[in-house]
Amino acid sequence: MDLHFYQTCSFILIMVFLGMFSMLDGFDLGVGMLLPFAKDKDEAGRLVSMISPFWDGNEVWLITAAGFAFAAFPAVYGLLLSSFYLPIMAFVAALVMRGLALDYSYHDLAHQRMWQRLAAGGSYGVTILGLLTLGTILQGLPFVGPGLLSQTFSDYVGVFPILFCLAGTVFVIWQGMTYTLIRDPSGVRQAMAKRIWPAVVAAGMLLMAAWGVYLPQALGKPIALMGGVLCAMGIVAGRLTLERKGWAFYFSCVSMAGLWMLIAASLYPDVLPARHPSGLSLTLGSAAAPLSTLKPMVLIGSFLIPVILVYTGFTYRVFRKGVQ
Amino acid sequence: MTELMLSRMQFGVSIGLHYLFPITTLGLTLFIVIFETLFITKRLEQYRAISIFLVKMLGLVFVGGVATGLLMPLSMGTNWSRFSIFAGSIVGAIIAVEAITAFALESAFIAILLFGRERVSPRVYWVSAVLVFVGAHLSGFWIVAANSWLQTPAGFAVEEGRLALTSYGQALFNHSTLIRFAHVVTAAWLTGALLVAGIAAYYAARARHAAFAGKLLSVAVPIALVAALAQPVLGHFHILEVLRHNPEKDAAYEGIFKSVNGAPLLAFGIPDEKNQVIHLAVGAPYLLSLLESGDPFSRVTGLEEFPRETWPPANVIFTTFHLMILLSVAMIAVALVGVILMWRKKLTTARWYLLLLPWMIPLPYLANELGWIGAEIGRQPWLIYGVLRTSDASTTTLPVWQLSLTLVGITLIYSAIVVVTFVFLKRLVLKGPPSTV
Repeated sequence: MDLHFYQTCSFILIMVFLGMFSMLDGFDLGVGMLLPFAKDKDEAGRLVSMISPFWDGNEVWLITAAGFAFAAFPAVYGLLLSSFYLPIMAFVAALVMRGLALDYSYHDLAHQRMWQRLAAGGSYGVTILGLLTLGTILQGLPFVGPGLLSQTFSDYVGVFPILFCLAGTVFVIWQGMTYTLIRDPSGVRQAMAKRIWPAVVAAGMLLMAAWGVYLPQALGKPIALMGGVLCAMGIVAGRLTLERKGWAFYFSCVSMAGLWMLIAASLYPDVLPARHPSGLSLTLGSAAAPLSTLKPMVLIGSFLIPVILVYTGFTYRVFRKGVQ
Repeated sequence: MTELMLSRMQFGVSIGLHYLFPITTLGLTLFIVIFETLFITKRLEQYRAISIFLVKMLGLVFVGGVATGLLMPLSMGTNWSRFSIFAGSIVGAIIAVEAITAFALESAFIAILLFGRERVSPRVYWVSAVLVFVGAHLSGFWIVAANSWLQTPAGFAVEEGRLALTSYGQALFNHSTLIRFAHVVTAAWLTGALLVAGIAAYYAARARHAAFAGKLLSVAVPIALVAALAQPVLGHFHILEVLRHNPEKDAAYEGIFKSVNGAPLLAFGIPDEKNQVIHLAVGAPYLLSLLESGDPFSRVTGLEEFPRETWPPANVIFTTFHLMILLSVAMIAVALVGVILMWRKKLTTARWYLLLLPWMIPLPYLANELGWIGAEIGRQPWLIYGVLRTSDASTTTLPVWQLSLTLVGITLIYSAIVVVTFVFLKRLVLKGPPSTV
């Protein structure tokens, strides 16, 4: 009982870290993906300045999620990262490129446009590769033995990951778009958000349809349904509150949170589900570290999340007017 | 076998190039805290100008460290999956806490250092500088603890074919954590001190920013001396710890193949592992025995007493270890001359010394790398000493072409990051500190 409790808490904790990443670095990535649509390099520069004090701290949520997965679910960490070798390497390369390019665009004004383009490319790379990987996990992995995945690429290909990636990318762009409304609540930006919104609705509908077709068993779970409803509500409420500073962004965060509830509930009690019923899935029980690791991880994690939110909140207050 | 070598090379290249950044970060944050403290206590604009300049450098170095560091924990899952699955409950538990304590703190407050000088009061700015210093050093502590656990594992048991923590405290504060941390941190401070001293000397030699350069030199040179002198002392205690817990490694470091009473401390030599001798050995007789036990005639255990298959590659680690010590002696000499010049009030006018100092900047970087090469290759054939062999730790499912592709890609990208950082730093230095100081 105790063991199962801490296994579940560890799983939830990692989902919370990933959720924080998708909300916070989500807006950095979203703003990065909006860069190609800036009308000139000054507007792109303004967009970059909205995220430059934050992206690095926001990225830490992903590292934290990875670290906790390493500790709490070593079997998942080892199997997933080694089986997705090239996608993970490309993902890291994109993350590296995004961060460096954002920073270098200040240090190398002569090539500012190039760095802005690289930052945009990195943002697209991180978002697309991350979502494709997550979608492939949700779809189920081609286990061929205990703790062993197929080496054949075609065994991983499916429709769900592609739909999930498409819809998710639109969500991340929306996260960035609504964030820019906090920093620059001008009519121009609001008009742009209004133009994008129908795509977000379409993405939400696509996502729900994909879930219904490919992962129907998930929709029998109350938390998954709640997540789906929250996600939809966030999208609608965001449109209704576009003119009110900040609100659309907070509602976009609600959508993200709902999406993560849907994801977590769909996986649970597996961490890495098998694509075809085989009993080979890595479950909370089979993949988790012993209690002696889970206990301190859960305690440290849940104690420190509010502490980090407090001091991160302080830095957001300091930069509430943006940077030059 | 090829797969194993490729993964080892990839880890070596990435950690070796990554390491250049965090040691610079540790060194720079020390100086930023010093000059911010001087600024808020003495209210002298020059101190602030120095801090502004150092913060600009830190911005570049920090982001390079983040960029090159991202891969490090992930590579344990990608390339060392058998190790991850076997030991994640311990090593992962250290890295997870590093992320949530140190990375989070450092990254939040470095934003205030880089972008917030006009947004917060000098006092809050000072607190932010201190928190970045603490965050960076905390991060150093956790990662050194993780590495030390590999060298001298403690606080664990083997359960169902994998490791389980029996004591988080013992795992964290294993036999080598604290001494290694002290050695590593003071080495980073030495790196930072010679870096900023070299830059200040560059200005002073050309009579640019004279006041700025003088102030920076007068703080950096004494710190360089203290940190340089700390190395042989901490190194001595560290090697005693190695002797106790990794005796084969110690024998290889010191070049003792055959057990001997009254062993000499070698300063130079060309090791020949095959014939088990050190050619052209130069050293002080009896000194190794004296240092290791306090008795000049005591017996020192040679490599011959250990099974051949548990020997670390003695040629490599004897050489890197002794080159590191050679560099250490050189750095002590450089810093000592500087302090003597300072004491005789000639530091900013001794042109030969000012022209020499910038060329000393690479020395601590080399020494840091050599020290770690010795520590890591010296742990072979083990990944976790006495528990898991490196050859049993790598991922078995990765094809050679993928490993080759990433090795080349990582080498190129990491080298590019190092070069670009160097170019931007150089540009920053040539442009000089702000305003007219």
